[in-house]
Amino acid sequence: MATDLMTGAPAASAQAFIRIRDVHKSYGAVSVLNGISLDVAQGEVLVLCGPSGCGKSTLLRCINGLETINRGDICVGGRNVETANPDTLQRIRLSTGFVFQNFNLFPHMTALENITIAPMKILGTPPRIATEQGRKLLEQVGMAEKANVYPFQLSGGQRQRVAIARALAMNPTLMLFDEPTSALDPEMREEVLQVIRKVHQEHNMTMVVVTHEIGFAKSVASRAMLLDAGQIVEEAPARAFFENPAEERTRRFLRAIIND
Amino acid sequence: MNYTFQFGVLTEYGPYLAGGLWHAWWTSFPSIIITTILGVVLAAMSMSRRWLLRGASVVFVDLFRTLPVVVLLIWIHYVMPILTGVSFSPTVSSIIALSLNGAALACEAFRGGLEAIPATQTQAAQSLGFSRWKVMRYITLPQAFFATLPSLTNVHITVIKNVTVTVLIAVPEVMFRAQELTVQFFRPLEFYTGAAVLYVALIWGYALLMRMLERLQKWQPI
Ligand SMILES: Nc1ncnc2c1ncn2[C@@H]1O[C@H](COP(=O)(O)OP(=O)(O)OP(=O)(O)O)[C@@H](O)[C@H]1O
Ligand SMILES: [Mg+2]
Repeated sequence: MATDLMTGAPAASAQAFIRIRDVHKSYGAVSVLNGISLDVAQGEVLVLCGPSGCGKSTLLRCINGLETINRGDICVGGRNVETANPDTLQRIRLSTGFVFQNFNLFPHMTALENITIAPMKILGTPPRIATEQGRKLLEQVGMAEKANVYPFQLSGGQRQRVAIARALAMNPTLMLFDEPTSALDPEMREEVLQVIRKVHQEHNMTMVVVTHEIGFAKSVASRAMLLDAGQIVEEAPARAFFENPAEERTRRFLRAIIND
Repeated sequence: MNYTFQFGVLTEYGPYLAGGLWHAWWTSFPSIIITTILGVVLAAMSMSRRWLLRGASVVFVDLFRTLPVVVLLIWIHYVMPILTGVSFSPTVSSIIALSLNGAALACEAFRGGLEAIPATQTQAAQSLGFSRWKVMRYITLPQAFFATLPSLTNVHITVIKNVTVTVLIAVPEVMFRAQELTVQFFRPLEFYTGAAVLYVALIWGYALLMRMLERLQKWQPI
């Protein structure tokens, strides 16, 4: 953690849990991330906003080592994601929960099985204990009575709550949320946001949340930033970011999502 | 056409002809099992990160998909013993030939099924800490299995039909016995029609069984 070589990097806090320096990522000729640098401290909640296609999902996938980057460094919990061997990469992923826009539940498993499969097959948790923990988690997200139901029988909001429970089952210290509510009907959004709030309060977990839910962001996030064309346009404490943004680009973006 | 039907011969020799089904089944059943297992392994290999495994899978599939089963069978039964000194019974030679051919077809079927699983399933599993192998074992293969069942059934039916070529190396299955009886009694129409009916019944029965297996799927893709 000692060396901060890159230029233009934000002042690195000593306990930065995620440390991203000058990350570039392109798919073939299309460059998606153009020099991203940011720090997320332990226990901090960072909200990421930005227009469609600006690279938000790509950035989250890079933090989880699901994509390789072309240049720069990403460290999570002091481990470099890019140079990690498979064992280290697995350890990084075990300490990180990922919640996807389209839930990505395993359709061939019941809600409970979705939650218990990873503890059982990866951590070696005995089935009885994994099931007990799984039921507790389902209860926490208000899905106790749907334990033995398959994902196709659940509503979008219910699927996302199971997906959150699935990520929590691995006891992560970091959660990445990629537009967790944007695929949901407005009535279902609040039930999912409520669960995320609760997770934050109960575990004081470090979180990176891609969302355009301003009310939620203001109440939970410590910081917010706008990503546009693969670059950070503005970064500020959440309240200031949403109520009094410094950049014209941010003001335009916020107007656009409010009018949505 | 002035052929006088005498299906009467079937009442006497029908049971002998039908007994050939026993041999047909014991040639095709092991072949179906090997075909399926080898097909899954080849499909998994074809998606490996190691080029050697991928290459081996491609060579295997291309070779045995293009080699006509009759050529393969004759080669294994008559040529291989000359080269290696190892020879097999007609049934074992047949099982080997049918399995190699079937595995190449099954590999393609499984690969189609695996590739149809969205990449987001793999990402979700990897983000939970699943290794590439465990993703396949617990997430993609079980989902691909049901998606592949209809085309896998077709591969299995091809394998069962291919049993008829084993007549060339004298596996005493239905076609072989029909030929035997025809030579003896000069009643080709009766005996070969009998053989046709028996094979159709076997394959229908098998397809029905597989249809029942499809019903075991309790979930739906989303
Ligand atoms: N696997 C891929 N191959 C090629 N291009 C990709 C791939 N994934 C993303 N892209 C491209 O990268 C750019 C950024 O995609 P990304 O999904 O990160 O955007 P986003 O900010 O999450 O957008 P959205 O709000 O629509 O989810 C897009 O232009 C997209 O077309
Ligand atoms: Mg996205």
